[in-house]
Amino acid sequence: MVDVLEVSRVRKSFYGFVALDDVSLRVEPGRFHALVGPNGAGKTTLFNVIVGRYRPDAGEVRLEGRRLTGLPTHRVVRGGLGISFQRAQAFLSMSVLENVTLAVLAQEGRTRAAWRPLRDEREARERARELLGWVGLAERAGEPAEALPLGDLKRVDIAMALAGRPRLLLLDEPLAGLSRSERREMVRFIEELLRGLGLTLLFTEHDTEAVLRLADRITVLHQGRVLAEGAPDEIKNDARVVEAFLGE
Amino acid sequence: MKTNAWILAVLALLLSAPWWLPDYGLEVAIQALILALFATAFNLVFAETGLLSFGHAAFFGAGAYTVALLMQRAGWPYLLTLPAAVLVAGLLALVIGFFSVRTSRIYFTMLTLAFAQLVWAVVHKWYAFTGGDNGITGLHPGALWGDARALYYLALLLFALGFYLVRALHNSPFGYALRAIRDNPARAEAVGLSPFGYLLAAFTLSGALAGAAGFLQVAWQRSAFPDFLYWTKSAEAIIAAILGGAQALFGPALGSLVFVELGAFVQSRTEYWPLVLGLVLLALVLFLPQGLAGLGGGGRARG
Repeated sequence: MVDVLEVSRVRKSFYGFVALDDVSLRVEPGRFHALVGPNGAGKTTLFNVIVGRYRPDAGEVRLEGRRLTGLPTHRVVRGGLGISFQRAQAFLSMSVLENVTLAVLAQEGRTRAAWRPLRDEREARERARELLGWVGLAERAGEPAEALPLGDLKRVDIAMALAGRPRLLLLDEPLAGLSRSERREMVRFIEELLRGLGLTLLFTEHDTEAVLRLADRITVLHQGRVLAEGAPDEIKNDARVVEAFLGE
Repeated sequence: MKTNAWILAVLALLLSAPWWLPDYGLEVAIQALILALFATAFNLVFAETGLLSFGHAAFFGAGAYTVALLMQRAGWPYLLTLPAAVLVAGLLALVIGFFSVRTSRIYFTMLTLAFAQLVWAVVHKWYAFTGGDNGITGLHPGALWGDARALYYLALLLFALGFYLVRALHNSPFGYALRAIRDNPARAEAVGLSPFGYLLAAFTLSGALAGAAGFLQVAWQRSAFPDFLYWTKSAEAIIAAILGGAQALFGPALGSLVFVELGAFVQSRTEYWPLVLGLVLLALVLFLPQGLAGLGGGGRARG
């Protein structure tokens, strides 16, 4: 079976600083794969390479066997990759429903229409309502996005990331900025929703407890290199990993 | 009063204006409509994409000079020059936009200003073709369009069409895509929008509409002057949009009406119009940042 995501020998440096040094990574279908490491380990750089924001100096990224390297972000996301950011990012001038409707239309390449009002796009709105139902925000569809608390904005962001029916979802620190109880809630939410959808997930997270609970597989990055990879139990007991984290 | 009743009242007022306004008042009203179209065009870029163009005079002027040159050199009837004016202004916007919309914020503003001043300098000095600083004068838009009433209705029609277009765009998926790019470009790309094409399309359309305003200006003055392309002309659109409220669709039109009427009123009594304008703008920015449309209460009024 072909891997959902295959990162092969990616190298990326900025002005002589090597951010990613020969990084390879495979994400198998249906797995929840965590990418962890101390600050500056290269997690964000790797994310940006995968989504096409950075072009790697060497190596390549494939999604279900198709090469992504060199494609701009807006093409990458229309090829089966959903992205949700670390800082919850919605379009704050619009309502919750408009945010998700726009995402649905954008995924279908139907945002060039300049005559029909957005509110007449029935199919897209239905689909957006369905997505909002999945993330538990059906009741808040009509509210302005700027009125939502951070936890709900993250859910809107995830609904938008799911608009294109992605096979792989990238979540960059889904728990960042949330309170303890919100974190528990979000972990449960991610687990139920994404497992239910049969989605493959690649995520970064600083909250170790959450990582161990969610992940089927963990890749540890350290100073731009893959330090270890394995099941949560193996990683937890890996001496090099413990040292890397404690040594920080 | 219900919204529909308001709209009917405003419509009745606008349609009947030539029959009760004095001659001078009608001239001022035409000027207000021309600026309203120009400012609404400018605001399509300013409000929807958040980019402040300081170069829209170039498109206004391109439209005007297309009309003037076609009439003077090729003997085209006035009305037939409209499509050409819109086309030339749109093409110029396409070229300037191609180099400008990639840049952000202040760089966009400075770049559009620089391009427009460049076009102005060419028009201002190229005596053989544009008449240089003498402009192109003595144009006769025909008996009908020489009549103030007819010109008023033509201006009203073009403004209404322009307004309708901008409003349709605002409510369409395309308009939402523009505001998504304005709100959060990184997120917009991550839902599958590529900013460049959308921004360029909006800028081109905005420029084409500004060209239609330039078309009207020629009939009103029976001339075209390099002043049409000078940066102060761009500033008029900016002031009108901010005065009326850029976040409301009718804001720029409202601002144009107040700007032109107030200007005519003050100028007929004192020579201190720039001083009065300065004070008005100061008060506005300090006390009414949403513009006059903000008085209505709806901060984000939608049409």
